[in-house]
Amino acid sequence: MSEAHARFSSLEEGQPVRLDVDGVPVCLVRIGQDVKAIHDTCSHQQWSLADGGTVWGNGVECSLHGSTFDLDDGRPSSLPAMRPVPTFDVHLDGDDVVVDTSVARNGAPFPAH
Amino acid sequence: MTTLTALTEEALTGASDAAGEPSWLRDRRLAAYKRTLDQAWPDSRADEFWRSTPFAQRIDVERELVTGGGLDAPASFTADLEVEVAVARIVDGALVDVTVPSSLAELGVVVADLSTAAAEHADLVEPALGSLTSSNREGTGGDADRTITVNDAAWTAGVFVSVPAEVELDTPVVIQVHATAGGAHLPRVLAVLGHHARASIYLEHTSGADTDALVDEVVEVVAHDAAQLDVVSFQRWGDHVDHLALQKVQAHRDSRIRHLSVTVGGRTVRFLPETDLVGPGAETRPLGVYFADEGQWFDLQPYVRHLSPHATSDVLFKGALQGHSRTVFRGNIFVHKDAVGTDTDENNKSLILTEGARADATPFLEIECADIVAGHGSATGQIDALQLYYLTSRGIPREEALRLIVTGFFREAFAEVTLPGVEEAALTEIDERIAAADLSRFQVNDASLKDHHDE
Amino acid sequence: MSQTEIELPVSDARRNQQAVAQDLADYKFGWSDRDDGYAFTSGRGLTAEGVAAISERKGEPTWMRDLRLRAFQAYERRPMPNWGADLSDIHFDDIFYYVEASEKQANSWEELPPEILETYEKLGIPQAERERLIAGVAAQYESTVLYHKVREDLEEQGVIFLDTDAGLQEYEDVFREHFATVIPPNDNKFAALNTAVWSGGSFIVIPEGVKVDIPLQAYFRINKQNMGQFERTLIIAEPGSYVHYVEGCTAPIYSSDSLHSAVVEIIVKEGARVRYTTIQNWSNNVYNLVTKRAVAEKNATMEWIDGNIGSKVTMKYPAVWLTGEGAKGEVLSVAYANDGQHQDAGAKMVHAAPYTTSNILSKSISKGLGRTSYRGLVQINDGAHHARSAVKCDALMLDDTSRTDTYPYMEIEQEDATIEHEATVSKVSEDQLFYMQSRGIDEDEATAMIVRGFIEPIARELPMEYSVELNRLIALEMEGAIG
Repeated sequence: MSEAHARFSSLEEGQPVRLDVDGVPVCLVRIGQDVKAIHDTCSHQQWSLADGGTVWGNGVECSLHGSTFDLDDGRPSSLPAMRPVPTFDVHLDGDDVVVDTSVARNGAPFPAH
Repeated sequence: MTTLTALTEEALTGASDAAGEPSWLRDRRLAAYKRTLDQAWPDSRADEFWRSTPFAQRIDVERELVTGGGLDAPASFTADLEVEVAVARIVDGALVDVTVPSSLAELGVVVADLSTAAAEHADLVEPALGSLTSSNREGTGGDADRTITVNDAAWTAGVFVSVPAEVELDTPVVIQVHATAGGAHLPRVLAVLGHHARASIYLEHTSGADTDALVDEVVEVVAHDAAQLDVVSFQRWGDHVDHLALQKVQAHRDSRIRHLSVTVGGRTVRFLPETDLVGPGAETRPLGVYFADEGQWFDLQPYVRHLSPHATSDVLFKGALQGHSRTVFRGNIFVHKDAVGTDTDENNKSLILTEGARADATPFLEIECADIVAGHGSATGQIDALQLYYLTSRGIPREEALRLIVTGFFREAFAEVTLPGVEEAALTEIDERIAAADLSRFQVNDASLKDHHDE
Repeated sequence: MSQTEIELPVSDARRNQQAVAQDLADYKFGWSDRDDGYAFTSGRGLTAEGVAAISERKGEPTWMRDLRLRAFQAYERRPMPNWGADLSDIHFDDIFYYVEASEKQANSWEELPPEILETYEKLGIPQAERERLIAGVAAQYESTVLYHKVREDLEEQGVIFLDTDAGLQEYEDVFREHFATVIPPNDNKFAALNTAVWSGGSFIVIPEGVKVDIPLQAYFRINKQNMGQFERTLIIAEPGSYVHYVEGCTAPIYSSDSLHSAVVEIIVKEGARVRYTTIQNWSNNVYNLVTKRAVAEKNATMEWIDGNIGSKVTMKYPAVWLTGEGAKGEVLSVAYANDGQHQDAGAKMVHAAPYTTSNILSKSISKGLGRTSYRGLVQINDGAHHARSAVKCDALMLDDTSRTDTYPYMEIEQEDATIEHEATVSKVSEDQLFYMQSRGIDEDEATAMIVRGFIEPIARELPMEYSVELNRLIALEMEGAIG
């Protein structure tokens, strides 16, 4: 039984939250009754996506230079970023939110720094 | 006990009084404390001088201030030299011991606790302490940078060095800063060299292998007319120490400054060796060597301000990187309108040894005066296949050849450093890094072979 | 590099040079047209409602309105940049964000209101078109493009050259596919502002294999006091195509400041080449804060030629993202700053693929209390092996009071990159002047000759009439003719 990383009831719609999951920084986004997780590091300048980031549809926009990453495939919809960011599986169990950072579900490489 | 974000007037007053500091120093600490109240911690998105290190991600200021308790520091590398040196040791936020050979004391050289010196040598300390951090930092945001103001307010262990006019020292003054306790360490150094004095100051930074600490350090040095000063700063931290350092020298007329930094340890090191050339004919030579390995982040920001005519500056930083490491060279040369006849050069060279490393170079020039000679350059490369080929074809084993090439790359930075023990100590550090590296992963650039072939 | 050929009898060319020079000399006296009687203005200041109103006025699809509103949010949230030039005197609440000078676009110059036509005649634009110096022309006045024309044979080959509003209406699919993919709405504060209130600019599509032999030209004119001009340009060069786009910019001198904040996105597909030339001569009360970025795909070439002569403050760093193997990027720029001017200009080259090449040549001249800054980025991404980049920044200071800065950024992730960076700072020396004066050349002419020689490597890359204009503009600035 994994330990919960967040409480669903504490997540606000469209308000990204930064978590540390087993040493991996994760940006958690609630969209309706769903929760999505993406590595919290922009592939352009390594900025935190949760820090000032804005959710648009199924993407999170980095507050530093505006690339928006799809929360499923991790790909940026525009420059200046060019590389995808890893996305993670999220399991909801009641109010428990569990993020699996052992593997990127979109296969994107983890950032180096 | 308090954290850097929760300093109080009471705690600062109490600590200042307990240390027996004179009232002017206590007042100055409180004034700095008041400045911190209007300051936010650096925002790497907004602050140009913090763009190269993401403050929020890499620097944790929610740490307890460490104010003593540690006992010992490892022996200084100068212990092996057959010279008599003055030594001051700061261990875990307290000055634990100061040794001054009588031969130096007889010459009037002072190496002492800064709190005590503030009373006993107020004529020297009062005008100099904080003179390089709280004003006259055009463009560097010193007044605005809370990491520096916090040290102004709350430094816990300070060393004062004074070398009287016309006294020339042949042996170094060694200041050790050692951290074993987790938390925030705020060391402070002030040195004053009288006119025509000569001295070298070694700063050795070390920690326990597992010590998880933030060291937020300020070193100020005033070099009066025609003084000759060497500052050598070794960063040999363990893997869990973050180090913020401002080491700033004010160079008066015809003074000659050399400032060598050797950075091999630490998790994040943001190192600001600065010189204000305030007197005509002053000269500064900021030198840096660094070797970054997996997980390390070095942000090196030499800054030279030419504020007076006919001064000279020559910046050279050389670094090697391996693993997932990141280095930033953010050099800045500012030439004031009055600084006619300035001669300045600024260079950064890095060697990327393995995949995954990143080296940034930003050699800046800001020039208000046209009558000058200015140059700057930067080069990033990897081990040259041709060089490797020549060495191996002479029967030198590949691994040994690689080691020779990397060591040779650094030697340029030591060409003018004749200080006892320094080059050996630095190259020993670098050799240790190479010895621990997997040489088979070193990338070799075959471009030179191709170019050679094309010709 | 080959120069664009202009087939024109020599005598005509010379006459044109003289006419351009004379018009520009006249312009220096700061004429402007009346600024009442506009067809529509959004009033001063900006709100979300104002942004929606611009979109509605233009009859745009919902997605564009939503994108504008999203960008407006970003614009409001973002702080002002605290690096580069001093922007503290921009009064955003005083600015007119959207002003239509006329209800409809003209098909011939004669259809324009007479005073506006007179403006363009003084600038020599209709003349250039009549003389077929350009293959197409767009003339933007305040927020909208009032005149637009493209040569008939190019239209037949499928070249699209429209104002950007018309581009959105007529080619919505291709527009939507590319718009804001090079520069996102929240790239920076001024790109966000542009995305919120953009109007006009050029929308260009060059079909595969089509090479447009002479330049397409756009002319941007701010006339109204406190005007904000936010044109948006999108150029798509299909594989193997070529186009040279040239823009010129002017405004009259007022006592209070105007804002020009354009966004230019260019997509250069495989083997295509785009050259984009700007000769910016905004009056010295215009803040010129522009985001220009191109993507160069496999073996594509993008060239920015950038002349910054006017404006109070310019912050502009034309960029090329080299995303395809063998792509090439080039920026050639000239900046001139006199009293009260700060030209903070440069270039960005991002090497994201193997065997990519970039070249930056920056020449800046500063005089009086003027300040020029070169600010440039060369980035070599992991995997972009065998990348090469050369950067050369030359600064010329004409006296002891001006200032010049060099801010090169190099971010290297690849071990085998070849990067060269070189900077020089020089002054017009007493020796040079003495030598020339001793040969009967007076000091002003001698200085002008030195400056011409200094910028020659860039001037020679321009079509002849622009090269003349560039030299003439700098000569005028140096005479101090400007008030």
